[in-house]
Amino acid sequence: MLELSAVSVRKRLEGVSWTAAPGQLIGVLGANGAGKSTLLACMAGQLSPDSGGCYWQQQQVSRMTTQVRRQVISYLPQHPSVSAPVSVGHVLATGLVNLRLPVALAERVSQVAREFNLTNLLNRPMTQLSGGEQRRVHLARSLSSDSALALCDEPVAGLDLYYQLRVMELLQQRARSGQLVCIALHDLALAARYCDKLILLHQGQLLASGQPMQVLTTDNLRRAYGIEARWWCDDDGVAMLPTLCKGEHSGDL
Amino acid sequence: MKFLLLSLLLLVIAVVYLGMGHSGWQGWPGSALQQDIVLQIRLPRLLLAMANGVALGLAGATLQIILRNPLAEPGITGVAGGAALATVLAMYTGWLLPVSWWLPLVGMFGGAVSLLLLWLIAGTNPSGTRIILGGVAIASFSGALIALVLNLAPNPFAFQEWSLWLMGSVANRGWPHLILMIPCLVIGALLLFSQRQFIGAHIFDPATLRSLGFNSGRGSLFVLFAVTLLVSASVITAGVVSFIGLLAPHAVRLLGIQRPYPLMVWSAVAGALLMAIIDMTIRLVPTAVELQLGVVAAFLGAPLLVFLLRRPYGDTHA
Repeated sequence: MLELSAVSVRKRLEGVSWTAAPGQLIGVLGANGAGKSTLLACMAGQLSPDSGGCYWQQQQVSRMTTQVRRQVISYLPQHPSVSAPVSVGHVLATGLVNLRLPVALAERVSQVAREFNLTNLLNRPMTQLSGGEQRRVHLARSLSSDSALALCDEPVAGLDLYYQLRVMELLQQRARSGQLVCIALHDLALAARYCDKLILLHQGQLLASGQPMQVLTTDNLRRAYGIEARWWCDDDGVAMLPTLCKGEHSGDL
Repeated sequence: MKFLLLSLLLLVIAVVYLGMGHSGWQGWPGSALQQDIVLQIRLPRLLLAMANGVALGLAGATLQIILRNPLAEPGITGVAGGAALATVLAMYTGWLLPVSWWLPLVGMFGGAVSLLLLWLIAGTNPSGTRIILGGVAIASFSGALIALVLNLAPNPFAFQEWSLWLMGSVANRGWPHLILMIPCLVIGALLLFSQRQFIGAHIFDPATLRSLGFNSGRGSLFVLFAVTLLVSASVITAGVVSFIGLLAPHAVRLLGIQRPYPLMVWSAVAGALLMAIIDMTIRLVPTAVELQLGVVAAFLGAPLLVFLLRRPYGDTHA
């Protein structure tokens, strides 16, 4: 069980409380600067809240040893990067350090590469990959550990439509297999279609949480994003057409 | 294959270095005097040059990796400046003989004080930029203090002696210098070896690195201590030799070696090779006054770096 208890970070988050059980895909939504990345960083133990705390199975995340946190939580930051032109295979192998792996390192790297369709890129230097390919490598790196809690900050940013859907399906599969997967994202249609629950942040505060269609209401979207949304839902999926609210956000840019 | 080729190259350089004198190729030493020249003068000098190359190459590669900055080199962290300042002060006040078991401790003390200052400037969560800017400030301040000490030198001979020492040289060194150097080199290299996974994970951005389960504070301290040990040992035995710490890792990268651990190992080998070649050049090029190592290193190193940079860079990997 993941529990956030009145998490506050000065000027970024204000008293966010919320709980989630394993086996779910949770979407963290909100406009730019709403506090999504800060919240994920707190959950990952990257940032200690000024007050309140994040607990995983009753253990405060920021007080876990780095080794314990490594076994329990995997984290994809918003802007991951690799500073050397090393191969994709090396990046995946380095991302598996400090883990007790049930299989040999090379075998695990191959498994992950197959899962993320990176097998033909394993020997390519990171510098020769496109932005979307690099993003997939970072995502594969972060999800390679099979930790109980997976946190991904904008996992589909920069991916083409095919891989956006592939990645969301993969994250959903991970959740079905018992992981708790929390992702920050901007695509409301993807969030509505794939996530089991959503939390919507607005100016550092929790505006709404619950089932996707309970959260993505006209009122909530107008307050959080300043948009009007028209939804189409059928058995195949969900689509949304956003339009700017009249009179709001004019002149923001 | 690369290892075999480089080993062969090292062997050839060692044979030429030991066998060549100002009068040309002298071959295997026959007389006792020739044996003394080789065993007591050339061999320790060659080994000291190579040990310094290993220390500087290893320190340079490590700093470039952990600071994620290809411009990083031992001088830029201020450690070399701190070690040089402490040693010059010790010589100025006449506390120590040029070769004394206290000398490495004084040099290391200076390097460690610089490191401590850097740690205080950079804060508990240091960024690469902050470390480099802090290091530049410390290096500049140490440089100014060294200039002040030189300015206040009691006589022109002391001024000249210290100035030459600061330019770096392995001339007139013997086995005692090597015996000073080796323990520091071994301990520094072993410390870095023990932290190889932590250093290797610095290919990632800081946020990803923090999520990989390392105790970053302890790891960074171990790594910076090891670098201090290597650089201080180099400064106290050969003075300030610039450029090798920068050049060796770049030369290795351009050979296609990009992964952190192999980069460190090969930079150590490349450093040894470069220093041996540079010191051989100094020994064999006839000049009225023997040139200083730091001067020739920069003379040969700068064009070599420019030449290497003109080749495709960053697309190769291993």
